[in-house]
Amino acid sequence: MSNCRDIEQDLSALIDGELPGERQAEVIEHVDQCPQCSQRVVELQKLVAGIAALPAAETPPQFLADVRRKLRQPEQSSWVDSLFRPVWWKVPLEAMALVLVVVGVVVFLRPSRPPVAVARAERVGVTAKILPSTPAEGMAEEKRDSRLAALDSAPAVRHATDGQPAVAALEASGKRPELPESLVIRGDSVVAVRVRMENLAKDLHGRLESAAPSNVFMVYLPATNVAAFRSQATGAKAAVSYAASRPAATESVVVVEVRVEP
Amino acid sequence: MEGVVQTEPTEVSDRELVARCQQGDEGAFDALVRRHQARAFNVAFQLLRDREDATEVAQDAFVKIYRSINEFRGECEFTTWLHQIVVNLAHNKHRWWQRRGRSKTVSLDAPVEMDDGRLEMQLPAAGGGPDAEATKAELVRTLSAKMAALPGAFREVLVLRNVENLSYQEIAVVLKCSVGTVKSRIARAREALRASMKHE
Repeated sequence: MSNCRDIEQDLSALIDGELPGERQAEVIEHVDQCPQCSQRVVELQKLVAGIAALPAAETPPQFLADVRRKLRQPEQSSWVDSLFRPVWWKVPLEAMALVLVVVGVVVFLRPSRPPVAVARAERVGVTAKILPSTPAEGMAEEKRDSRLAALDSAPAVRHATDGQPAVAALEASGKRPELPESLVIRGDSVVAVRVRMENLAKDLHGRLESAAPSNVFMVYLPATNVAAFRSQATGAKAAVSYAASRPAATESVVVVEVRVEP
Repeated sequence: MEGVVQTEPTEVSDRELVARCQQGDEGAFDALVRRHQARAFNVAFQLLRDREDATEVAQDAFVKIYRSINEFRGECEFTTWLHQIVVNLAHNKHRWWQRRGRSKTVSLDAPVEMDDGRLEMQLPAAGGGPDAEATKAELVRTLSAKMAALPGAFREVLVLRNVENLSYQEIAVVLKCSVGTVKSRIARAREALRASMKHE
C-alpha cells in the first residue's frame, strides 16, 4: 500500500477527476484500504460541495446600462499607457529626451576648473603637482605643449604616484622638483598664508578655492588683476609663478602652493 | 465598432457574437454582456466579497473586452478570456485596497463558531425543515468568511474550480500558469480552508 504522505497531495485532484488513469487507480486503491485517507476524501468532498453551494450574488440592475455609460466616458489610460503609448513615437522621443538630459547633467556637473592631481610626500617642503593633463582651458597650444614637455621631463611628475620613492629620487639627484605654472609661497603656516591669499583674492575681486592637498589653492580672479595678485602675494618669496587665462575670458587662475619651512 | 447594426442574437455562440462585435455590431456586444454578466459579477463578488467592488470590476471587465475585442483571436473560449480579465481586475482591486491598509473582505457577517472541532460540512437535503435551513445558512456564512480570509491566490483557484467549475487546464489558461501549479495550489487551498474550518 502506498504511503499516506504520497497520496495526500493527490486526494484533491482525485475528487476533481483530474488524475491520470493509472495514478487514479493507485490512489483509489489506497483510499479504499486507508481509513484516514478515506475520511480525508469525505471531508474534502463536503468542503467542495459547500463552496459550490455558496449563494451566487445577484447581478445589480442596470448592469448593461452602466457598462454602456462607462463606454461613453473617455478611456482612462494607466500611467504606463500614457507614458509609453503609442510606442512607435513616444518611446524614441522619450529615449532621445533621456539622452539629452543625461548629457546636460554630465556637462553641468563637469568640473569648471582643470583637475589638479597631486602626489605629495609627507615630508615638509616637497610637493609634486601635475597641472592639467588635458588641454588647459584657454591655454595657447604652444604653451600647453611646452608645459606638457616640461611635465614629461620632470622626475617628480613621472613618479608622482609613487609618493615617497619620487621624493627620494629627487633628493638623491640633488634636484628640487620643478613646479611650472604655479606660485610657490613659503610661509610659517599654511593656514596663515591661506587667509592672506583669501583676503587678497577678495580685494582683487576674485576668490580662493582649495584643491587637495590643503596647501594647494586655486585663486580665480579677473585677468587684469593677476599681476597685482602675483606681486602682492609673493613679494620677495616668489619662486615660480604662472597664470593661465580661462576661456571665460575675464577670469584667470593662479595656482598657489604653500611650502612650510622653518 | 463604429458601424451600428442592431441585432438581437439569441441562440448564437459566443464565438459568433465576438465575430459580430469585431465587425461593429453593438447589439452583439450587448448580448455578450447580458449572457455573461451574472458569471462575471459572481466571480468578482466571490473574490472580493464586496458588491460595490465586484460591480465595478465586472463592468470594467466588459469595458475592457469592448475596447480590445479586436485583439481576441479565438485561441481560447470567450468565457476563459472573460475569467482572465475579471480575475486580473479583482486581483488589482484587492491589491489596491491592501496598499491602503484596508481590507474589504471584512464586510461579511462575523463568522459563526462551530461547536466542536469536527468539520461539519454536510449540507442538509432539500426540504430538510427550518432547522436544516438554519444550519445551512450558518454553514454558508462560516464558509464564506473562511474563504474571504484565504490568500487571494487560493481564493482564485477555489472560485474558478468549485464555483465556475473550470477544469485544471482552463484554470491554468486563466491564471497563466502550469496545470501542475493549479493542481498543487487547489490542494493547498482546500487544505488551508479545511484546517481553518476545523480549528476555528
